[in-house]
Amino acid sequence: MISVTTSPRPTMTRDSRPFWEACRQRELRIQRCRDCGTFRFPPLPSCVECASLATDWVKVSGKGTIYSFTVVRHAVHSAFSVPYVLAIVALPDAGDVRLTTRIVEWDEARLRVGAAVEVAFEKLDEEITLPLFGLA
Amino acid sequence: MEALKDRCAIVGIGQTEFSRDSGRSELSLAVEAAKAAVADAGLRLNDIDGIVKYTMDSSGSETLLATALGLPNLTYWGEYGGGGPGSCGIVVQAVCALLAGRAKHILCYRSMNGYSEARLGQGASGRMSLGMALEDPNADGFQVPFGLISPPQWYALIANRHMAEYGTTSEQLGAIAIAFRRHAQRNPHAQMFGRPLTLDGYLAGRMIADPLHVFDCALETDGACAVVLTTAERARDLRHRPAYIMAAAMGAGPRPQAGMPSWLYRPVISETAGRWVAPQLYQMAGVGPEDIHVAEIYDCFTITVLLQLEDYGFTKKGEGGPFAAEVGLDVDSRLAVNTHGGHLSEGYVHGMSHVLEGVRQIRGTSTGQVKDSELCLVTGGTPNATAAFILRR
Repeated sequence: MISVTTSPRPTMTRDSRPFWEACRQRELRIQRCRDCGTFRFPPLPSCVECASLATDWVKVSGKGTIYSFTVVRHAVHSAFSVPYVLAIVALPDAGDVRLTTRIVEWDEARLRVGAAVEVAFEKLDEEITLPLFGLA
Repeated sequence: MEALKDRCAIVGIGQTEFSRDSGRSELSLAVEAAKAAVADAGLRLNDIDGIVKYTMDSSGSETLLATALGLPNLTYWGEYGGGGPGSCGIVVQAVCALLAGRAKHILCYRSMNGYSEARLGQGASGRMSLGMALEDPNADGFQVPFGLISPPQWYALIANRHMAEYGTTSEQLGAIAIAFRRHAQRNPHAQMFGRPLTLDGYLAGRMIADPLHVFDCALETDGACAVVLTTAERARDLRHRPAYIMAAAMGAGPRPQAGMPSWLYRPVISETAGRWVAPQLYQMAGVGPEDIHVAEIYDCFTITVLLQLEDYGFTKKGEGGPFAAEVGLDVDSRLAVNTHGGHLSEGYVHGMSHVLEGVRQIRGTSTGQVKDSELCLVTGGTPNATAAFILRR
């Protein structure tokens, strides 16, 4: 019987496993096409530009900027108590890749589109560490 | 591309009551709506030989519905994935099947106990995995574990981006909610009939995910809607004035993504795939947005409508807010929108009720009738790969 307060775990696929294994090592790795150099996220077996199947997982700095955010005020899952902040974070050293994430350690005055953030890994369990982000 | 212009028509519409508890199975609702649509067309059930449904429809398979309706000989059946785009996607598919001679009278429908059973507004925390239902594994992989779970949250991220890029305001979003609530006051079938909404009331509504308040969000509804389509030749002998399908198209654009939740990863999120559907429609029909004065626009949220006002060419990208506020989207304005009250105020049947209202506008039987409406645009769900069509008298 799964407790309703258990945080939902990511479903891992063959294509996404390297992402999660890197997070477990507290590294942010993003796919880059070995043929044309295009970064992509979410993980795919092939390049979104040239369809090449040749892929590298590149370690990126973890520094980003807020592309958009929202303060969630209405709870929809018991694992997440309101208010909490969701964001789309752009990773400038990974092409036009953006991640969806949660912002930890926030205050309303500093939350804005364009704000600088940095990855803040948070261990969920032995297998999964989440790449959350904090205001820089 | 012009092969389908004016060659098919919607000839029958039917729906159940919209409520918070139908007290019946989704299949039961589907049967009632289907029978109503067939009777409305002046046909018999035995005339139906094709069925197209939304993949996400959980009332049962096409052949189960055929069994429940006693249909003797189904020769075409199919489905359309992706969720909300299905409202128009199933019409596109039905038109293709009719023109290929695969069936003579095709039933298209959506049935959902969307309040008493799986509530789409709750996303992954509801009784189903919305990511799975939308065929988008990225939701369960990269969103839900972070707390990004439900449609209002996805659209709040899109709305905030649009506000940051273009200066769109909450009052402009509110103008959309208020317009549709006003339309609902004329529509006795609307769940919000008798419950008017002011700007103060809109702004005071509970905040779900900033900037979306409760009144920015679609209702959750138990109900079903169905239509019957046939060829223009057969349509002439049936009960009502046919609503001819002047143009119908599907569009995805580049990087269409796995499904709705993954739209957030696109280089641009403050647009919808309507941007790639609209040019096909206008080219096929030989009209432009300036010729259209009534539109039934998929409205899971107010921001969804605002984006489509831009993407279907009624105003420039970024100007959707001022347009909505200035035009008012009223029956006697330059562009009436969601004359039945829409998802925000009539009821939420995943876009299918907009198909019915489009037909009413063409027939002249809408509770929010636009005078002399020759054309009506109907759009499917967004933001990702979607479908839409233009009806004409």
